[in-house]
Formats: sequence, structure tokens, C-alpha cells
Amino acid sequence: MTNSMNAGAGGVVINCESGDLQRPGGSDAIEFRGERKPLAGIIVKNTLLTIITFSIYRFWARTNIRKYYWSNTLLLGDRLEYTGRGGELFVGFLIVMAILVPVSIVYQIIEVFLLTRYPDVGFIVTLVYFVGFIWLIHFAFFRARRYRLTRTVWRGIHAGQTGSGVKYATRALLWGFASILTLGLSVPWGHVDLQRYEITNARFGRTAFGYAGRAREVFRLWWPVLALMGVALVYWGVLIGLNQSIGSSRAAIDNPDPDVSAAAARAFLEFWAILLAPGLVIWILAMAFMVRFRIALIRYLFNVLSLAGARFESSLSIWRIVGYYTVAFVLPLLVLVSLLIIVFVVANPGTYQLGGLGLPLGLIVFFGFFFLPQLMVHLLFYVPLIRHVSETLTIENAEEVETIVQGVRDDPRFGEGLVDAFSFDVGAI
Amino acid sequence: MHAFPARYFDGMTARPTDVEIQIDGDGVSIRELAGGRVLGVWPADEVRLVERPRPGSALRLRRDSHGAERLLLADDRALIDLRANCPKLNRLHGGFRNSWRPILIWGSAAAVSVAFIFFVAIPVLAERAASWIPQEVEYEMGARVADQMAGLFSQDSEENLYCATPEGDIALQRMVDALRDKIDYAGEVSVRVVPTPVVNAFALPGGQILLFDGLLDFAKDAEAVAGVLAHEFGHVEHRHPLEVFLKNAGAGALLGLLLGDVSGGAIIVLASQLYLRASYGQEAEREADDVAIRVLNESGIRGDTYAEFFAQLRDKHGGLPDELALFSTHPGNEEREAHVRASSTGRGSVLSDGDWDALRHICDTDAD
Repeated sequence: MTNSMNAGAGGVVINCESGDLQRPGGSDAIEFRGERKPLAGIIVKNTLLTIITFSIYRFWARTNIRKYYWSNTLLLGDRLEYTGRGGELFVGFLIVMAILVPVSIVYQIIEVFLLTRYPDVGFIVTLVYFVGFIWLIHFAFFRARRYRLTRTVWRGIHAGQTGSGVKYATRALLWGFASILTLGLSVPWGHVDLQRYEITNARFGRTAFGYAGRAREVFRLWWPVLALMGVALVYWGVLIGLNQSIGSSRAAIDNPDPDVSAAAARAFLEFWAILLAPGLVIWILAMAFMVRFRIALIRYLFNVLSLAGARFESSLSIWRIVGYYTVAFVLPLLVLVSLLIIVFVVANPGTYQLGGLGLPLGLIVFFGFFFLPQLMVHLLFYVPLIRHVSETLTIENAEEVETIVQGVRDDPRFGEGLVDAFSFDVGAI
Repeated sequence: MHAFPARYFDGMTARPTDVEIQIDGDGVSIRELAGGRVLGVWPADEVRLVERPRPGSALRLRRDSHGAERLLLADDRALIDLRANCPKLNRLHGGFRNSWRPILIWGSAAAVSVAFIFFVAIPVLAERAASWIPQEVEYEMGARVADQMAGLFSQDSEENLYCATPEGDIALQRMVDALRDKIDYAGEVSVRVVPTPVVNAFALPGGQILLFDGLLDFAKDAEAVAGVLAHEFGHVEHRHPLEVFLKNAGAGALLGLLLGDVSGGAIIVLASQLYLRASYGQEAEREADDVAIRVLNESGIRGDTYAEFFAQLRDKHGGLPDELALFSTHPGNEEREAHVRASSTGRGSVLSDGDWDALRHICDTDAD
């Protein structure tokens, strides 16, 4: 033997990843080592290849991104593996193009025909189409999660998902109806029910994840959002009810005398601006609570999650994530809007010559809608978010995870075609 | 022969075992450190890297492309031995062999269905839907497209989208009135002139026609313009613009689906560019020509200068004027010229010399 070994008291313990001789547990049980620079390199390469291949490469691009995130996430010192392949996503997309798209087009032909010929029946057909579409979205998300889980490996053990997409989508649809009927009151119960279905069907090896979420606790986070939205809506509703009395001022606006008309219009606008504004303030406040609700749900999920006796606990900071969100989404949006204002209102380019318009506009569209958002979403949002989540996540009894046994593999051969068809994951993982 | 410390996962449980491995021509043999039991021997051609080696991070090995066993090695020197002994070390996946068949099968199926949608479903749907869409909706659509197109082409210094002079408007109205009643179209028809040197004319949904100023300059006389106008009236009568509009919308949606969400914005640009190059196809052009001849003949307007227009264009652009969507769709300009010439029976004029002069200068607001 030419290589010396580190012989400790309890035998040799090699931690290959961190150089640390102990296997990490507790607060170090989960670690994220993703960095912006290599990720930016992957995104640039992905973008160039996607352009050259008329966007066919996008399936392999998404796979590259996932491989990076997975392999830089360490559980108990060992990296996750993403074993999915671009070709699988591509075939999933081809299947959708081959089957689902023609079906949907034929349906739309029937729909347009019925809508114009028999408006009464047409209405029902449209409703069925709309409801079916929402059902399909839920179905697609459940199946896509299955694909991702079956392509996730840790220490040679495969993750997976049981349960039925049909059942899940139907349940999600019914909860959607319920939340409309109960004016949002049922949202926490729907959320917990669906999440329990997702989590308890997700498995690692032979072991299913445990979920101890309770709707009453979610409701505690939800009610301020609901109450504020309710107040704003009631406020506006009362105003619209008052609209009847404003009918006379409308008549004055239509007065042929320009002075009378202008004065009435000003009074009308002032009335609405002054009265609508408080409702708007309440609504914005409601949206702020909505953001808090959604982030708090992430933290809550970790706190009710368990796996083979190991329990998770998260202390992530809502405000930090609000900060990342602001930097990655809100600020760029403001910049974009002000740029558009500068270009189209202040600079007022006036007339265009068609020939010169194509390329620059194409470039602006490309950078504005594809490349920059991707770069920002990953570098400014996902990387700091995942880092913060993993830093604030502790696992109690982490060593229990090591008792997990390999399960029977039942992997879908191709992936995610439906999700791709619905174009939901712009730049997402 | 070298031995390296390693961590072994047997693919059955997530519990690690500290092992010592030996790499030689037979492959990788794995021996438990505590007890010395041999846990397995991986044949040399079944040893694979899980991912490309990265400096500062452990080598990960697996058995076969799909095996669940894993080996982790901290010592970079092992890589040298592995490379020397394991021929398929860098084969990251099962190889292309396993993946080409579904791509081929589903790819052909997808191509067939996309072709079906593009060549059968969209044209049929566009044709049908054109007759289902209410006239007001069509007019609104056309008005929006007209303003966009005029905005793109207009070179008026004062940013007027359309040209107008009192005399020119009257002259244009006279020309329209002379032709309007001869077509079978219930809706409103409006003709406007766009200030641009481009030689072209468009019929848009909702009976809206755009004449480009360049065409007024290029035409020999008022009858040639009347011929072009009658041709556009022909498209209006057959509701070609709405059909093309719907076809493009359908094709744009399909293209968006094919390209993914990557170029959601680019699709819009592409679709509008497509519209500018809108081609009705030879059959539609012939239909429009037939209407033009009928209208000219019924109005007693001479068709020979309109016929000459084709020759004029051919001379100017060498036969294939690519910026002229109006005339570029058909290679048979000569054929059309002959057809118009042979079928035309009218001898009269459409405008007085004064009116023609006013129409020609409808965009010259500064000069007057």
C-alpha cells in the first residue's frame, strides 16, 4: 500500500467533500455551494446554444442548470445527483406536440364553431375547456415533480413519487372551486390537503416523507391577507354602488358646453381618485401580507417535514427573502418601465424605418425577455435564496436518514412535456 | 497497484462504509476497512465517473451507467490509475443508442401533427372563422393594423400617419366612388394614403385599404391607380385580409409553442414582419385580378395602363421586387399582364386631369 490513511480512533472517516473528518449533522446537515460565476457561465453557454439551435437546446439547457443546482446541494456532506437528460425532456415535448396539440386545436375549432353558431352551447364548451385546462396544469405539475424526483439521487438512493396525477389534479380543482365558493376562507385547508398529498407521496428510497402541517396554523398566516383584501373590495364595492348617484355628473360631462363638461369631468375624476386611493393603499398592504404569507409557507413546510425520523427546522428570515425578491424582480421591473417611458415618451422616436427596426428590436426583445431575466432570476434570486434556506435549515436526528433503504424504481421514461407546453417555467429550475 | 481510501455506498442503503479500493486491470476491488471483507469487484469496463472531476471535490464513481452503487474518492491520484485501467470511465450516460429511437419516433409523430396543423387545420379554420367573425370586430382589427403599418412606414415630418389635402381627398373619394358599388361587400370601405416612397398597396381586414404615396408617384396615370385599387377591392370582396390575418395568428401561436417560451416577444415581432410580407397566394391574386377586371370593365375604365404597371415594376426591380408584397407572390407577372390586357374592355378615364394632379400631391402638404 503506497497511500497512507488517516486512522482515527473509530476507524477511518473520510469526508471527501469538505475535508472535515466528521460527517456534518444538525445545522450543517444541508449545505449549498452554488456560486454565481460558474452558474452565469452555464447560462451564457445555454443561451448561445439555444439561439443557434432555434431553441431546441432549451431542454439540455434546463438539464445543465439542474445538474448545477443538484450537485452543489450537499446532504450530510454528500452531493445530490441529477440524473435526468435533455433528451428525455425533448421527447416529452415531442409527445405533447404529437398528441396534445392537435387534440387541443380540434377542440378549439369545435369551440369557435359552436360559439358563433350556437352561443348558448358555446358558453358551456368554453367553460369545459377552461376548467379542463386548469385541471391539466395541476396534472402537469404533479407529473413534472415526479420526473424531477425520480432523477434525484443521493448516495446512490433514488428519490421518487407515488400517488396519482389524476387524483391530485381533481383534488386541486375541487379545492379551487371551494376557495371561490367560500371567498378564500378554505385556502389554508386546500393548501394543507394538497401539500400533504404531495409530500407524503414523495419518497426517498423506500421511505415516504412525513408531513405534520395543520390548516389552522396556516390560517393564522392567511387571515390578514384575506381580511385586508376583503376590506378593500367591500370599500370599492360600496363606491361602485354609489356610482348610481354619480350618474348625474356623467350627464354633465356629456354637456355640449365645454366649460361645464370640463368642470364636471374634473370633479368626477377627483371624486374617484380621492375615494379609490384608500382602497388601493389597503390592497397594496394586502399584497405585502400575501408575500409574507407565501414565504412563511416555505418556512412552515420545512418545520412540519420529516424523513425517516429526521426532523427539519427552518429559521429563514422573511425579510431577507423579500429583499432578494425586490432586488431580482421588483427593481428590474421598475428599471424596465422607466426605460420604456424614456424611450417612448421622452425621447419619442416618432417614425421608424422598417429596415432598421428588425435587428435592434429583436436584440432588445431577446435581452429584455429572455437572457437578462434568466440571469437575474438565477444569480439574484435562486442562488441567495437557496443559500439562505440551507443556512437556516437544521436537521434533528439527521443520522436517521442513513437508515433509508433503496426502493423499487418506477421511473417515467420521458419528462415534463406538458409543463413545457404551458410555458410556465421561464428560467426556473 | 495502488490502494486508496474511499467511501462506499452499496446502492441498497444510504449508510456509508469506509473502504479501501484497489485499481488494476481487473477493475476496482472494494474492501471493507473494518474487518477486511471484500464488498465487491467492479469490472474495469463498468467503472464510470458520475460527473466530470472538479478540483477540490471528491471523485464520484458508479458501476455501470444505471447502477446504484457509489464510490467517493478524495485522492486525485486515483484518477490516473482509473484512466489507465477503465476504458469507459468518461462515458457519462448510457450512450446515444438508448435515446435516438424515441426521439425519432416521437419526432416524426410531432412533425406529422405540426404539418397537419399548419397545412390543414389552420387554413381551414382561418377560412371558416373569417365568415364567423362579426363585421365590427373585423373593422376594429383592421383599423389597428392599419395604424400600426402606417406608423411603421410613414415618413411624414409632422408624424401624420396619413396624407390629406382638401383637393386630394375629394379626388380620392371620386376614384373610390367610381369603383365601390361594383364589388360585393356589405361593410364600409375606406382608402387612405400613407406618406412613404415605398411602391405598394395593402388591403387590411374590415375593408381598409392603404395606398402608399410611392405608388401614386410610380403610376403612369389615374387609371393604373384605379386598377391597383380595384385589385385591392377584389381582396376585400373575398375577405382575403382577414383570412391571412387569422392564418398568421394561428401560425404565430404554433411557432410560439414550437420554440417554447424562449422568444415570446420575438414571436410578436416575427408575426408582424410576416404580416408585412403577407402573401395571399397565386389563387387569391388571380381572384383579386378577376374582380379588378370586372370592376374596371363595369366602370368603363381603361385597363391597359394598369396592365403596363406590371411591366413597369418588372423593369424597375428585375422581375422580383421583394419589398413589393403586392406583386411578389406570383412569378407570372407577364401572364397577369397579358390576362388584364386581353380581358379589359373599358376605354374611359377615372379622374379629370385636375383631380389626378390633386391625388398625386395628396402628401405634399408643405409644398402647397
